[in-house]
Amino acid sequence: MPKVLVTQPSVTGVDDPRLEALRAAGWEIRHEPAGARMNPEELLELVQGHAAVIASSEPYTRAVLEGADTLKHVARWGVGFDQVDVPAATELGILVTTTVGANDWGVADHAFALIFSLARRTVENDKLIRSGGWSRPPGRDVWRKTLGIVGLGRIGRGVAQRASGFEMKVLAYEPYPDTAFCEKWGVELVSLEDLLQRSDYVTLHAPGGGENHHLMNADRLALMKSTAFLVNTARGSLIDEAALEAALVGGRLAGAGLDVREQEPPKDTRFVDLPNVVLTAHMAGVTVETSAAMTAMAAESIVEGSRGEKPGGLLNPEAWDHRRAY
Amino acid sequence: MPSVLIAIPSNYFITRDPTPREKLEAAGWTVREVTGRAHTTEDGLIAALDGVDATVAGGEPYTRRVLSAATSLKHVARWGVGFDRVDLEAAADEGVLVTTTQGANDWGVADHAVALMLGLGHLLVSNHLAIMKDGWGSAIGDDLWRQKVGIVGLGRIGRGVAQRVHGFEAEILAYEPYPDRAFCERYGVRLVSAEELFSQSDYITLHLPLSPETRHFVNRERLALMKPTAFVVNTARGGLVDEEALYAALTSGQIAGAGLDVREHEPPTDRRFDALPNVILSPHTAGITHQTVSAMSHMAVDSILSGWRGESPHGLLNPRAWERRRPYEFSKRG
Repeated sequence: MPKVLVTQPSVTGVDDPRLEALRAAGWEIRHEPAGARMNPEELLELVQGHAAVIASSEPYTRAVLEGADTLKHVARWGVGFDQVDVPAATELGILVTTTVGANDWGVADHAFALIFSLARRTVENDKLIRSGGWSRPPGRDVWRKTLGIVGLGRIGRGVAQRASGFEMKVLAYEPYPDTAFCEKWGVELVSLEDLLQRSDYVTLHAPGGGENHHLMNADRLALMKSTAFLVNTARGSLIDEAALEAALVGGRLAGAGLDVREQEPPKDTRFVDLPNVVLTAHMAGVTVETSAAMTAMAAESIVEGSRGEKPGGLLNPEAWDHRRAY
Repeated sequence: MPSVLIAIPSNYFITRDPTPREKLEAAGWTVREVTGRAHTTEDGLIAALDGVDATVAGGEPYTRRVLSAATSLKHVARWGVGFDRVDLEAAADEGVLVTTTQGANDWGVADHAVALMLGLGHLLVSNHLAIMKDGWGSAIGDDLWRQKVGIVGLGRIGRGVAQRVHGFEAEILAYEPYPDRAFCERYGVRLVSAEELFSQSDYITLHLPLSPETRHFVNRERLALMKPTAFVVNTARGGLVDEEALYAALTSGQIAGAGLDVREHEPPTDRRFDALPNVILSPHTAGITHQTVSAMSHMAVDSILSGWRGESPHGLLNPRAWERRRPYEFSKRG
């Protein structure tokens, strides 16, 4: 009987109904949420003897993947995979999947939740009332304002769709655009510089890493209007946080909504004292509904792989032909 | 020279956008501002209205007693859309015009209703506070995408909410006695009874005026129909919700949470909600953005100047007052 390790904390346990595909296929399930916070050495020990893992954000380094000789499939719960050494996995014949598509609507919703919390001072006003105040500072409109979407993938397109209900002017920066989509939803494709200069709200939906590291640096932040807001529900590395802090403190930017950080959990207390920053703890894509969908998708992808079917969300199809055998 | 009393907080009318005030001054009007909260009582208001021709009115009480005592008053231009603090019949009897700035802030209210739904579903306040306190947090939110949104009242604002949540592919239910059927068809709005709306919706948002019939529309019985995972949002009027019953529903787990922009008493006297983690509170600012503030101030000023010039003003609530309106002493007609 093959064994699967589940480190994802939001899976409720071995009897989580969304793990049904694994149970039905006769898998033995071990739920170890502490694994989500392990270092490579601890993780290597934990993962021994398992054929597959439903992984949280623990580090699947080359050393872990090489050491875990029973491991055939790392099913990342979520869409990020910066904690998995994918080239090493490919070399070793280990399948890596994500639950791409199973939480994008939650991220798109959250981008709007952050936009509104900034525009309408939701957190600030709530705090004010709870401490006895009732001053009524005006917020800012979202209706018919200009939204800049950096990256028009699945999530960025979802944001554009939502923006249509607010009759927003939607600008997008996307090197490989779906022009039919842009036409349907009235999205204007522009350069990143143009987008930053014209938008009242800028929301990031680009992948992290590579040349996108510090995409929002001091120079680009300086292009934004002083009345504009920046929202990041994608990857913390997209923003140079020191430059963002300086722009916010200097009044060169109206506010920021950050679901993701350069370090998570952040080691500094940067942004905590700024009233025009709204922080959430990397939970954009995590709702009751998306969690269930991601768990189910991860479970199904493992069962598919074990049956010799190419699993959904496969990141390294190059590994398929020399995959480790069950 | 006619004079106008600005009875709303001056930071809305005076500081942010000077152009409405300049328009009045250019027409030869004197602009007075209230100070403090003395004008929020009947006697204080009567004193503040001495020699005043028109008011840009906030929530102060224009009762029959006030309207008959304030003999110089000709026009109450409500800054906003509510008029539950103005006795319309008495105003008509006295020949005092009453207008609202209807249409100048409805987009802000509709935006804010969605802001509160998303804020509740995505735990914005509690997640932010957890990070402030513990450095990070773990929380699971609730979708708005493709959930059921129940809109109580499909007037301008309710229709605006429907248009917005349509972008989230929400399944829209509405309770509305006089529906615009073409609108409902266009946005896939399903018209249902109040009971059905309360029992089926994941988010319930109120967009109806306060009247004796709608007072405590959200009462113990209707709250009991709600799903334990559902949220209620009020950006309309505080009196629509029985706060005692709501508090009980929030603390017993009968419903998931509430977003309250308006309260039965404002500022709130019932401080128990301050301690609840599953509510988001805002200080009656749904309709107040930089953009709506300017639009409402301009509309109020324009309606006052229209009435003064002898033109029936936009947004007149009591047309009966028009024929018997009190004359301006230094009126420049034509």
